[in-house]
Amino acid sequence: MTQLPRFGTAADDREFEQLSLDFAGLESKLALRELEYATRHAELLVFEARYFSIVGIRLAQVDRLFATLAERAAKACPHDLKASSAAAEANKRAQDAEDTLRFETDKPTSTYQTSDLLKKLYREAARMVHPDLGSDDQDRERRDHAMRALNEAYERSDATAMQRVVDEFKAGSTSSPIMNLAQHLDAIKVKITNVKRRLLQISKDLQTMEDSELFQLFSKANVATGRGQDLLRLMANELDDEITRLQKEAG
Amino acid sequence: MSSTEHHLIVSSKNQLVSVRSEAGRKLVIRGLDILKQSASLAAFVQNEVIQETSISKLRLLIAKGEIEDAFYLAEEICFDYGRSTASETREAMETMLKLARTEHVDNDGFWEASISLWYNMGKIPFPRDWETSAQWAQWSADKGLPLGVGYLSWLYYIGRGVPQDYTLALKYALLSIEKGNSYTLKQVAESYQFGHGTTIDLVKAYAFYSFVSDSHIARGGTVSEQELEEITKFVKNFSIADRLRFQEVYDNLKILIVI
Repeated sequence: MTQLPRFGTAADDREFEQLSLDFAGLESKLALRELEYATRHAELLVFEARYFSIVGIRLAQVDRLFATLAERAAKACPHDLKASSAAAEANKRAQDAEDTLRFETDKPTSTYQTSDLLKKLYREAARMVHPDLGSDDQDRERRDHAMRALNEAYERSDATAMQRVVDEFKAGSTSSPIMNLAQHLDAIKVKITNVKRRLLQISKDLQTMEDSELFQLFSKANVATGRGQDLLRLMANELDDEITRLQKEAG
Repeated sequence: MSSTEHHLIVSSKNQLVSVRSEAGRKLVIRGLDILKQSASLAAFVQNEVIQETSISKLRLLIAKGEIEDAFYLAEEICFDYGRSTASETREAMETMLKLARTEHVDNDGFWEASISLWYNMGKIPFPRDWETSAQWAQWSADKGLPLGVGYLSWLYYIGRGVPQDYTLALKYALLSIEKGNSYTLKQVAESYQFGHGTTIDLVKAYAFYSFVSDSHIARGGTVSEQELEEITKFVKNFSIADRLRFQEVYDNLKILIVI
């Protein structure tokens, strides 16, 4: 039997090896940042729903009571244009608040509950299916679909669905075309660029989230939780006092 | 509903992120106003959110016992060397070392393998230290992590941090492949080609090279076009028995290694 030619050794492919190691680090970081983003997103959705059901509903009651009082005042002075304008404005405000609440509370309730197992599953799955780790457009499209399904399952805290995303992704994987070393290096460099771009985008998106009013409220509620208090309930108590006062006034 | 237009906080993937309507946002702003106006809730307004640094987040995670998240955050701080101070990065590195040597249910040896790679790369704040890298690879391999086993086999193969030992290298390399790790495929191909730690077996060598080449497995080593041509020439000399045996080894790899 003929002796096989000597091939370049694994240890010889230094640039490839170095890039691969860098890429492995970026993969970890990407999965971690996606997890942070998905977790923050899910937490805010849960908080938002709770806010509307505890505080929002009371704000709408306050608005309706104000509208009732303003309408009564307008009826008492039918020639007072200011009073009728104020009544119309109060009524619109109350209607808006009620519409908003109906709209917000009609949405499916978020079932997200954090756990180490879910986080671990998400991190591992994201490393496998992330669109920016794709080798071509077709691959990226398939990964994009899987990543969306993963995010949705994570938001529902559905570990079974998350595992199914991974299993289906593995089952649908096919061999990639044969590439020489230069093509391999180019492919990895493209992936590194894509991953870095996505990391930057995640940072911006997280910043956008953290700049929102909802996040400010969420942060304050977390501070309160740390002190053993429920901020939304405290706010509800304040509003309940206001509602009682207005109800008395409205007779 | 005209008062609830969806446009507020939208991510790059067009996912709605936060308050999902303008009217909803107004209700949230009113919530913040309640805090400002209420004497009893004023404390929460005063208590503005402290801008957390990465290292303060890390300390908090450790205090809360969220060890897994802490390890990955510490690694991220090291990865982003330059964004934290030198002493903070050093603290992150020491945290990684400490956490990886503490038993944790979610650490299947990946943390040890990761640290091994840091020492191998010699990326700041980790010094390049092959012996320490080998030690961490051994700890990872002891837990049976395919990546750690494969990495340890490579260190034995090239004799870095441990004495060169082809027999041990091949043993670990095959073990990692059995566990589904692709990193050592080309190394095993070479071992069979040149009799490193085993007798020369060109059929097996060809099967491993072909699998690496056909599968385009990142980090399994690469096979250049020229090498591929040589392989193709070589296969013409195989007997029917060789070809059958080749197919058996190749098919087995297809089962073991998920691409």
